[in-house]
Amino acid sequence: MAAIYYFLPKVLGKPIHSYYLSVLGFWSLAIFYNWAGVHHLIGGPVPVWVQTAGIAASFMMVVPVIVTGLNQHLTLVGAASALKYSPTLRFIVFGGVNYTLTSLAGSLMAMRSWAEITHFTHYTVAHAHHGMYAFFTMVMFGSIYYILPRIILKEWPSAKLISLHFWATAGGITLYVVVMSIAGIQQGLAMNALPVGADGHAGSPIPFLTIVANTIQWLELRTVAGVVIAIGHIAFAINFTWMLVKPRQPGTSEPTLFRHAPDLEVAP
Amino acid sequence: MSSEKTKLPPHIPAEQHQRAEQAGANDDSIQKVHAILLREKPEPSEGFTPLPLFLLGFISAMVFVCAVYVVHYRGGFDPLVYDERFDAEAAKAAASAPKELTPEQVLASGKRLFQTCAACHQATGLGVAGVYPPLAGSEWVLGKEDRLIRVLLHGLGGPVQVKGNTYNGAMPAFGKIPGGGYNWSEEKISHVLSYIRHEWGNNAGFITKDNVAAVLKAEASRAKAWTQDELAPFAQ
Amino acid sequence: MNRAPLIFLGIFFALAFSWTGIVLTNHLSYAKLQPVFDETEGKAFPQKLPGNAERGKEVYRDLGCVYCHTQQVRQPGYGTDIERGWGERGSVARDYIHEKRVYLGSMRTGPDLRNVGARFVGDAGRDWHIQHFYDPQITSKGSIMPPFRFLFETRSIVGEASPRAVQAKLPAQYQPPAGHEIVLTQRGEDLISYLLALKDPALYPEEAARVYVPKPESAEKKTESAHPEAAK
Ligand code: HEC
Ligand code: HEC
Repeated sequence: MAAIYYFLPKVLGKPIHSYYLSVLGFWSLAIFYNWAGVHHLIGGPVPVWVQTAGIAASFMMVVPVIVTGLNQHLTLVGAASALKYSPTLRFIVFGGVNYTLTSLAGSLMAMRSWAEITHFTHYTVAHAHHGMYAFFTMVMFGSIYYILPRIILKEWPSAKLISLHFWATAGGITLYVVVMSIAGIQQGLAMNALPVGADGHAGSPIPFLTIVANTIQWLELRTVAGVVIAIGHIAFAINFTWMLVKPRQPGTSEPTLFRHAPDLEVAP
Repeated sequence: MSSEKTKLPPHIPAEQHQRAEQAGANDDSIQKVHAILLREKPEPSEGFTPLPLFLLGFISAMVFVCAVYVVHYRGGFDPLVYDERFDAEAAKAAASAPKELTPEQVLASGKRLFQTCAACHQATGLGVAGVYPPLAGSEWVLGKEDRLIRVLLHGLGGPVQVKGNTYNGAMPAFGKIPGGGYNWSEEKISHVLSYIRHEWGNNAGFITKDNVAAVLKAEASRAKAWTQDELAPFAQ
Repeated sequence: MNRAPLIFLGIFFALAFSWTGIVLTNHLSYAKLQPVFDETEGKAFPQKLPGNAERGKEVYRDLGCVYCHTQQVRQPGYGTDIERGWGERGSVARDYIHEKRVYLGSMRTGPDLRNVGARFVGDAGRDWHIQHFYDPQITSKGSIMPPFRFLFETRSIVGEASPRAVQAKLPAQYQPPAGHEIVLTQRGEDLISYLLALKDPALYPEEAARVYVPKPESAEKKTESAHPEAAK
């Protein structure tokens, strides 16, 4: 979060939209997020009032999320064309957008009726990766693209590899999240269904193994998504090693951008 | 490694660099330094756009909704309450309602209990060839109640013939017997037996709780699993 | 503009607030929970695990069973845990009071195991676990649970065959070469003892504060949401 708040204005050379929004976002996050953890135990072995408090706090998480989202997106408005040039910005904005999405989905998942379906399924796995990868990891990649050239005073050798890294990880994680969400919802619905059985009476759960069999196709797609992400990581690793071993350029260095920025209004 | 620019920490403002470099630096190196510094944007700052009004409204609405939610589902803030729908009235009504089950309810309950059996006899009731015998169409299931109840109460061991095949495994005891494992009540046993007698095309009568209780009483001292031979007298 | 003390105080209160609410309060109320004496059984529940089962619990943790299995039954009418025979009542905090570490789990790639000990019982249950660990396909065709064959040891018979050999319980295609036998390792024994002991049979006062009667319309809703393809 802090990385986004730093790099967004730094790369754009433009102030964060509103100080008040940031403060509101920070404090509402600090107050509510601690409570929200209990939403992992909905329907579980904790007294109902604890669950209720956790759910309410998870709802309230909508406030910091919307506030932060507004703040960041309004900062970007008018400068979106910089996305065409700056690798850092692209990763960070992707992360920021996914922060908003995953957090709103998280609040939704805390609702009892939605948790009843998605809890304990692949949907939770999708959500966890959405937060940890699509948001956190992508922001960290963006930060690395910004920080490293400044520390070792060398530029990234290949813009093509950065581009490959971005599209492979962004595409891969999007596929991953979509696939696992569908798998999870299907799994959850099947798990909770009490269809009319062969005997004509409602009330027999779908056999566990049938549900397992139905998720396998989605798990295969998940593997595909994983491979695509891995390709992105390999591109990053190559670029990184190359950067370490290549000699420092004696002359003026230019930041590595996706394409030539017309007026150099953007940092990498 | 010792090139000019690495010696100059980039965080020092540009004018100071110039001063520091004035003595020995040539134009070229100054330009190089500038190239690096020129790229840097100013340190991030914050604008002071005021909060939009609708946001305040939205936040108040959220606080209100969540407060109502907490009050509604607080479960008396009681550490022993685990169900948000708990309502003392409904619980009392349910407790005093008549307990007699309809045949459908008996079969539904039996079906639920059967999941325990399905681990071995499979949900299809066909068993696993050579290991677990079938229940569908089994003469043990469709035959005399006395024998079937005994199999469930105390278990079954040694070689047995089912539908022309021989099995030699151990069927666990489900009854409330000395040293018994599952300790199922008579009612549960009657439900699951009624269920297997009506499923997969099986069509035999219901078994009541009293049938089971009578057998349990007659065999009160037995703790061992039955063998096929021992059960032969009860098959007639 | 030094706001550090203010920020520190603010963070302190935000943390203290949630800590009091969800850690301290619960700690106090759970610490009060006592085992409940059951008149008919003449024992107090929940019971402590016997020693070998306690060791088996470590094996359970080592092998990462918790990634695929949960140990919490959700309350009646919420999900279908009860209908699936995973327990007769929802799990409550009292069930876990003897446990230093709880393996509640968060993912149900496999079924809930809080009451496996009520589903697989005695020698027959032990045999089932042996088959299932040796190869889940024996008992559960199509399972994606991996075989845990390293819980077994195939060794040549020296002198007399071991009374603990288990190959007789396995179908024909799993038989070891002549002169060899398959035995369960100590870790395997412990794990199975744990699974056999894992159950919450008792009813606690908590049950009095539950609504067991599911509302009829919710039962209907579930039927409708049944998946047509999944039901095949
Ligand atoms: C641990 C595995 C296991 C479980 C669980 C189990 N059985 Fe069995 N059952 C067996 C085996 C093995 C036999 C054959 C015994 C023998 O070979 O001596 C058997 C035999 C039977 C038989 C007689 C033979 C036949 O196929 O008709 C009946 C009836 C039966 N079981 C009913 C049940 C019912 C009802 C349940 C659930 C309440 C149940 N079993 C649970 C393993 C099991
Ligand atoms: C890859 C995920 C996975 C892991 C890891 C896993 N299981 Fe499973 N387990 C399953 C699946 C899927 C099933 C359901 C199908 C079956 O019966 O095999 C299952 C079923 C079971 C069952 C039968 C439950 C029932 O009621 O039918 C038991 C017992 C079990 N697992 C124990 C274990 C233990 C103990 C471990 C750790 C050593 C373990 N499992 C690790 C996926 C897993």
